[in-house]
Amino acid sequence: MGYEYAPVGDGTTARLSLSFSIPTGSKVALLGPSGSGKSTTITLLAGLLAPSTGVLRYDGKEVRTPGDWRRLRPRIGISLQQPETQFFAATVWDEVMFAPLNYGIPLQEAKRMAHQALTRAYLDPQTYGPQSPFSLSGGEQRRVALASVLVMQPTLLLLDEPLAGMDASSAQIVWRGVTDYLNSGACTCIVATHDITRIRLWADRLLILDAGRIRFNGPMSEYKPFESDAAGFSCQSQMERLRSLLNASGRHIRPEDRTPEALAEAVYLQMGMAES
Amino acid sequence: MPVKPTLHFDQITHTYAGRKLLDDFSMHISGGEWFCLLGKSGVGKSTLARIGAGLLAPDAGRVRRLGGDGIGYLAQSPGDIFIGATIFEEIAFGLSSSDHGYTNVRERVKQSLRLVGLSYLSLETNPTALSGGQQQLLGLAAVLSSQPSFLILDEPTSMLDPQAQLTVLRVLRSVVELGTGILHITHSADEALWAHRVGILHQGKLAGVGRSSEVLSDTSLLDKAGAEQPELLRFRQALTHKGIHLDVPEWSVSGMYDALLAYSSASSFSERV
Repeated sequence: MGYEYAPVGDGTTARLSLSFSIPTGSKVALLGPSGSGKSTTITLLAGLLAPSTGVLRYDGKEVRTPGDWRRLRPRIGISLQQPETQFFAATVWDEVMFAPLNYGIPLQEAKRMAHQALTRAYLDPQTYGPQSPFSLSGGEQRRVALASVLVMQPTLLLLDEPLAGMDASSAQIVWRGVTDYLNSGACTCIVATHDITRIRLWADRLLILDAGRIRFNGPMSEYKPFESDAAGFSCQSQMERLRSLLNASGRHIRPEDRTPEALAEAVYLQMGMAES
Repeated sequence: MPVKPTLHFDQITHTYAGRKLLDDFSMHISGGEWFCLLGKSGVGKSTLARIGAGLLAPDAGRVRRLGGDGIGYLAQSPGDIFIGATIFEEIAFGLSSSDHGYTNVRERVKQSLRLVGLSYLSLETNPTALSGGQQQLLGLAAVLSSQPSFLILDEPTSMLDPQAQLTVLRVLRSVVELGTGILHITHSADEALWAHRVGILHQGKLAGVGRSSEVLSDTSLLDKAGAEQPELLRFRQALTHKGIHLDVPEWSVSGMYDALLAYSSASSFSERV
């Protein structure tokens, strides 16, 4: 897939050029520096942008025409950055039922689906349903946005920075809603994020972009973290990065020493601090 | 001796959508001080930032700036309020053209872009064509360009990759050293380590306020902000308990690594002598 961005004032254009495949049911972390093309990739996969060249295939079938997309779209759930800024309905019920009603599902059924989706997003339907989505806290809004994505029970879930701008405990609830859903059935999920620490425990595949190109695509287990990277990007937690730096300068700290306290103990013993 | 400028929030009370977000809230920051405000989503941090920036009138109380010149404000998603058709216009908007010739403005625009690591972008780029993270950096460049005495930054790094985040923190440290006062709103305890003081907004008031390393070690306070103790701080504390006192030049992985190397070469030196 190629995508050419609109030319900027001086006539230059940025390009995205990607070839990759992802097995059904994968949990993919889409990583890369700001501006590397993560959001564009997500919007291309959702059919919100058309690739300038190349083709997209779902389950082996090409998706090209508006008709192809119409058939596929109910199966794709997409949440863009800061989804709460796209709220438009007067109540949470209307917000979450919008997609099913839009697809012609009868009201009673749409309500049942919304009820289930809100529960999945850890929101009590009776309490939250009648409220205005605009009156809720940031964390609650994010859960409403999640419910309106899960309501159609997508088999492909595309999430762009789903946890950005949330405190750790609110983020945890949203993330639990996502993972509960993924555990409940066969769904492929791609999450564009900078939140490495949370994602790495969850993802089984990594797709790493840099300047519009793929740097790595494969199972998490095959990924060899680089010491330091041209793009200044690393997929390791802080303590792992510190360990890598220390081992690169001749220490032998075990991967098991991953908590700050265990790493400190290893450093204490190995850097001659114990004797001094 | 010139008196440092100060920014005061005096007994601010504000209700939004039936909830009392700020309840007789008071604090102040001084020029050259970096203050981080932590708190759960929806407790009123952004409301406080908007009140501080003069975009929202509180139900009661007032904001006072004593001395200094101007308050710069960076919204949580600055892309929503961009007004320029190009990057140049976006940054130049805040610069008063009466004080500077055109070349001077252009230089300052370029300088601000360099500061935040966006100098690779053409000045003619349309800001809406940028990624979320780039928009956030551009927003910061625009606020920095007019060199206000105080900066109110609402989650300035929420969309940034770790490297860009570090760039921003280093920029903030350098403007603080030049005398700017910063009110920095964040969810990241890691980031708050860089500040001089940290406060936790909880139930409309400052639940805890103090030196960053103290507040960020207090797990019951951090619970109120839905935050966790930074790993780098835990690492340093674990060494402190063993009698190793590290002088950390910067709260990053490379900063900690440098601190370890400096300690170990100093101690092996003292063994030799």
